[in-house]
Amino acid sequence: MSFARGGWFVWLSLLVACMLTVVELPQWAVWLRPSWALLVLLYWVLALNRAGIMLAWVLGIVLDLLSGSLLGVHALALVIVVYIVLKLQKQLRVFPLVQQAFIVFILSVIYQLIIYWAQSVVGNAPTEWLFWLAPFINGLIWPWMFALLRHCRRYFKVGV
Amino acid sequence: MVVISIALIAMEHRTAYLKPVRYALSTAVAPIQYVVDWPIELFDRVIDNFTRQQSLIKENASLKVQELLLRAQLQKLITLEKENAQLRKLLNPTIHTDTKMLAARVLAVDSEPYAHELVIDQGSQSGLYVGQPVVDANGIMGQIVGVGLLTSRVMLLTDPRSAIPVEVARNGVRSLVVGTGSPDYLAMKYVPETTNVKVGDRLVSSGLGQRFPIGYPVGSVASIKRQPGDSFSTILVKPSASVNRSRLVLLLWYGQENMRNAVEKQLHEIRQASKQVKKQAVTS
Repeated sequence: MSFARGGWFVWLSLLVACMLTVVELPQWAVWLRPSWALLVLLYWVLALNRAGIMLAWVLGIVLDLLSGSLLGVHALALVIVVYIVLKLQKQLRVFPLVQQAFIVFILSVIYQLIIYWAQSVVGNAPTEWLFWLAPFINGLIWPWMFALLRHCRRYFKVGV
Repeated sequence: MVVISIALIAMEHRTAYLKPVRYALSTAVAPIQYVVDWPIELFDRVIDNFTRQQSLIKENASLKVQELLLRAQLQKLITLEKENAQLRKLLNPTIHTDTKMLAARVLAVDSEPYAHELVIDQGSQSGLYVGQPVVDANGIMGQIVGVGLLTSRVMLLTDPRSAIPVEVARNGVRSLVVGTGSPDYLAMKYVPETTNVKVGDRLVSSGLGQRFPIGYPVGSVASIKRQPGDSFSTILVKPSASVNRSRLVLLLWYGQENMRNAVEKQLHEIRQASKQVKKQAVTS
């Protein structure tokens, strides 16, 4: 996958997101970790025309390897979510930030649902209720994430 | 893509075809894990460097005392071991064999919070294999569930997928200890209400699953709830290994063949004993 300009920044941001996904947190904070990779990917899918299903799938496989889940679990979830975003791309782009955050919340719920489903099919479903905390965190953090990445995108002139 | 993903999940769940793929790919992501670990490791080292001489001297002194105590205990242990070996020769040989050990460092890398897993800095390069037991200074921590060239994944005893056969050190009552998903407690399963288990009892691995070595501490009984109408008691166990805090772990290479023999011998004895009990019941 190559982006017209500044493709390196897209890859770098995704790499950082992967790192944040595995960075060690204190015991009380492990459930508060946002789905960094999902958020960064959503931003690029919304902002650029080139980012799509294939990128989502590759990222998902990397997440599976990092988190030790069966190959395909995260890939499946990301692909489906990105597919939905691509369908709604035109509306989502013009939504105000708060509304976007709400949509991100819904998308995160779908993402968690797919992971939950895939994990329970193979008999390893997360039993803790705190598992469902992540969508709320994602929704809360989206506006900041969006502002930061948009700033970076303009600064590095990605995909203009 | 969706179909491919589902096919992948199914394939890895049901078959072993993807093993080499996962092995290669997890080796490929190992750099990410090392990079994430690096600043934290560096931070630890810097702190170490700044630790004042004073405290080092103090620590050194206390360590010397500790060493002396341990040596004294060791002397006792050596004689005990000799005696034990002699007695064992009379009973059943080759339960304990020399085990190869390797120390590994836990990388400062998290997994999904619902899966209790660690990543360590040794892989197939050092000869690790899936199913290998992992212990720390205080007891059994878990087992290896995934191996890459440079890193491996350890599933802790606290993971809900984990189970380990144990026996009560005091009276040899056998049972299974499974993970609950909580980092502080394990659960002891299938213990009938009438069984003699008390709070504070130490549990050691019985080796019956032929995966974990015999006689390593697993935990101690923290609470017992007996509910009328329920045929098994609810028993919570506190793990002996500091499951979440250990930075250094030990990998064991236990002679699989010897372990199998030992376990089969034990099972044989159990069968004999139960047969005798039945005979007595019939005759009386």
